[in-house]
Amino acid sequence: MTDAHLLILIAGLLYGSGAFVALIEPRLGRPTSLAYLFPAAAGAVGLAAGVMVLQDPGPTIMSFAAPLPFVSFTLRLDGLSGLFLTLASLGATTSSLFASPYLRSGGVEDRGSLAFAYNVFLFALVGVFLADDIYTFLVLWEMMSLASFLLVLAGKPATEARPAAYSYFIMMHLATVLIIASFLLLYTRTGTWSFEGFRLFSAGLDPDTRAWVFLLAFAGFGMKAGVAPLHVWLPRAHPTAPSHVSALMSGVMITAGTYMLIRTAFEFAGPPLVEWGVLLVIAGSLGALLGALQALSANDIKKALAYSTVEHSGLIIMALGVSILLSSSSHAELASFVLGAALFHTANHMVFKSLMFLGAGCVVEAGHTRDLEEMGGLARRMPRMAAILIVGTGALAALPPLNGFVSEWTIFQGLLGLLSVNDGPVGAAVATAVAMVVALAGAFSVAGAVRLYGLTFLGKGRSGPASVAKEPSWRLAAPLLPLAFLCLALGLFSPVAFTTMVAIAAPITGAAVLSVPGQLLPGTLSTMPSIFPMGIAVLIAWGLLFALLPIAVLRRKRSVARTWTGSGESAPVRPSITAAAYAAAATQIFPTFFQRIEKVERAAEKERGRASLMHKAELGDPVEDAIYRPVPLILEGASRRVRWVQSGSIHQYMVYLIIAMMVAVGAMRWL
Amino acid sequence: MAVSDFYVTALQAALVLAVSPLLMTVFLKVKAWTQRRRGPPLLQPYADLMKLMEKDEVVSDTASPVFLYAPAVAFAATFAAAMLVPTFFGGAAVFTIGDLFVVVFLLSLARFAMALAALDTGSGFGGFGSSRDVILSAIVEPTLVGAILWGALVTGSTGGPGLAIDARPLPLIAALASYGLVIGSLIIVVLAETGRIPVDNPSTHLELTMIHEAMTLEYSGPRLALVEMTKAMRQFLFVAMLLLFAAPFGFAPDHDGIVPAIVLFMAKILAVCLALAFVETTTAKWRLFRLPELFTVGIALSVLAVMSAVVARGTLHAP
Repeated sequence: MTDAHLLILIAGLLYGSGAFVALIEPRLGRPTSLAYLFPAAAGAVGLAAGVMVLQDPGPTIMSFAAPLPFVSFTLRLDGLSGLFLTLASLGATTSSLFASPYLRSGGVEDRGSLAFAYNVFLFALVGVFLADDIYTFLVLWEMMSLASFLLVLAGKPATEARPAAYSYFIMMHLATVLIIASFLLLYTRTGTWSFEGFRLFSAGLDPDTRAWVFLLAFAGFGMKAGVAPLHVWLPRAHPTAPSHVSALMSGVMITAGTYMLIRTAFEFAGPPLVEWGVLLVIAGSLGALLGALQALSANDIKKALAYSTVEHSGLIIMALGVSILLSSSSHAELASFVLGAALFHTANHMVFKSLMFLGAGCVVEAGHTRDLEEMGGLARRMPRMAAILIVGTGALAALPPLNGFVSEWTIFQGLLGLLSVNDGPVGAAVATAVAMVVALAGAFSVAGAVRLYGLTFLGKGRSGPASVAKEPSWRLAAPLLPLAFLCLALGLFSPVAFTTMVAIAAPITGAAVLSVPGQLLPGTLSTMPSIFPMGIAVLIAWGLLFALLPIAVLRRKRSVARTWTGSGESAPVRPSITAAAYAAAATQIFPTFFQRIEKVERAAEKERGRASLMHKAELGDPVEDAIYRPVPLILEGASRRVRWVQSGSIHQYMVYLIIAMMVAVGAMRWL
Repeated sequence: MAVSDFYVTALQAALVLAVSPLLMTVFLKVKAWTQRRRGPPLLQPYADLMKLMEKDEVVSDTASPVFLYAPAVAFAATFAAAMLVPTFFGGAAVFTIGDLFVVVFLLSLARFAMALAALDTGSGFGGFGSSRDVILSAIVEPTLVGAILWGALVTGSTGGPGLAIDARPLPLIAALASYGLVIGSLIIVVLAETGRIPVDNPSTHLELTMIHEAMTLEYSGPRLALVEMTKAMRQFLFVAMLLLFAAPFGFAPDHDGIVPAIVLFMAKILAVCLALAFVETTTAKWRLFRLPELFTVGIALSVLAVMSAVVARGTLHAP
């Protein structure tokens, strides 16, 4: 047993103790603070273990005898699981530190059961990345889904949390069914329960089996990863959950889907086939565009962040697809580059999305609303939070020199790599089209980020919250600081981080680990091999010096006046742009990506014989209406058709019994 | 960084800062000439900038630090982007700091800063200008990315030096078609991103048509000078980028040839500005919601450019 193993055991015990303490603490009549301190400590320990594994990724196995015959629990540590262990543990620490002051401020009811579910969720979440056999994996996977279901259910308001949790519950179980089917198919062909066995036998499988295994896994894990059009649960469940949980769900939990897709495509069913790459590239890039546009139009601050998760998840899946395309055409080095880019973006997304969700939690707490229309002007009431979150918003919008920028740059380089090795016009056309869709999605995510930050923090307060909001305490803001710092550090020191990612990806795609110069971020083309992120920061700093020096030296007098709006000084309301109007240009240019929901509401009481009508128009997700609404209708129609079967007559039921028996006997003989 | 690299970097910075305002006058002059007016003197923008630097400023009561620092961030990002596009010499270390993708990302940093500042004043003008700017730029960006991909296929590099230095191994006919397409798409990008007619009218203050102007209405004094300077640099940058694709010749082969190369670059950039100003005087501004049509044309042109480059390369590599 190595040190990393020991640390992982300690972390597991700490999560367990946290769950235990969560049940006791409320009984003693005190708020749950220890129950969140345990997972924070566990996260720190897990982080240490993750870093150790990243430094020495040679696969090691831990196995435990289970209290059941023939079953043992197996964990495996390698580069990939080390990376995700690190990310999950980082998220566990920051979210847990945030959780107890957040709950004390009264956003969500502080209950022992909530803390219990939270600890179980984290235990399972970390475990999922380490599991190395079907039993262990499925037990942890279900624990993760169920615990997070309970956490979504705890969200407020209950009228919103219940349907969101319910749709999440259904989608996750559908996903689990598909995943089990994929695993069982592997089991019947390889005769082993362990992932290690899948790795050994995968090369010998026939292509049809491999294709089915991958397709089932794609549907199952893709649902968790939020791949369009399987993403519908995500923008419902993530915003309603308490913010520390949203951060974990968006930052870490969805990556469990990506992680298992990588494992399935390259290891269990690998080596991957071209068609899978095409599938992932198309689903990923369309998901990225849809997510970016929906994030641009959502009026709920947390929903906008959830759709941004759909966008970034789409980008990651797209990059994974490109890596599969390159790997299947035996460009292993390039494939490991692009897979490294996907992993890098996963890590960066985890950092900035956790930061944004925790920050959104503070904003929602301060203003008691999630509606962007009601915010505005919060920067003057909470300058500290505004300053921290501009870093997260910048990273979200992929602005240099922050971390989102460098990983999107590597993804573009990956697409370029695909284009440059493809001499056929069809492959090149796909690569070009995807690059353009990604550029469009990226630019819309900048627009969405401007809208999100600007309408929350800047300008004039549009209603109550701006006048009541208070700066959150340092205890609440402190867990955000390391994340904001990481946004900058992962950007400036991206060459080191990216080299680590490519080193993780290399054994997966079967490439040799390439050594990269320490200061430069490598590209995929031979004549423009790299960029220099620190140099970009220096150039920007140089420009800032040019700009700020004259202003600082001249020190012109500055006076304050009301903004001229054309409506006169005495006008009670100053016209300013609303959240819906900000997105209007995009929604008019791309009507296909929005579902217009119009409602006419009639007031219950007539006033002087006249009924007042209210016309409401909302923009929704087109996928929901096109795919998800018809399903229950079809099911309902089908069940109505076969309702005559249940007549209530006992004679008829006797006939059914006899028929069933005959069929059973017949089937037995036939078999 | 060698000493000579240092000189080239300093020269590039000086060129960016000194020549940018001049391009503004070229536009105004050509417009004036076609309208049979004399137009402002050549050094007018410099005088304007100096005048603004001397003025006091008025700041909106809703403004936060974002409003105060956004012009500096936008200036810095645009400056950094302009430093990555070779103008007269391609071989300096500064151009290898970032490639043209980095230029695109830096420009979006500048846009992000100004769009936020426009929202910060709390005025309807600023808000709508901000919304129009981020969304119109969003639909221009794929065209630019297409052009960069084209450059990468043709020269094997996404960086400025690649376009400035490397020979193009394309057969002539295919190259001509491919060139025409990519230049056409880039002209649309330049028109849109520099806020010229038919996309935006830089000399209007009518709220229905304003995009870029509306975003900066609330600035005054030295900060307005920064905003104007940033606009000028942005125009310089886009024209320089167009030149990098359209007229990649006359770069100094070594440090000795720098002076004639700078003169040639000035001639090239003036020629492009004259042409753009002529386009501006002969067309009318388009309605906002007709603009996506223009950008669709841009995207189509750049896709075709990339495809023709792929095909040309394919025939070249074929045995």
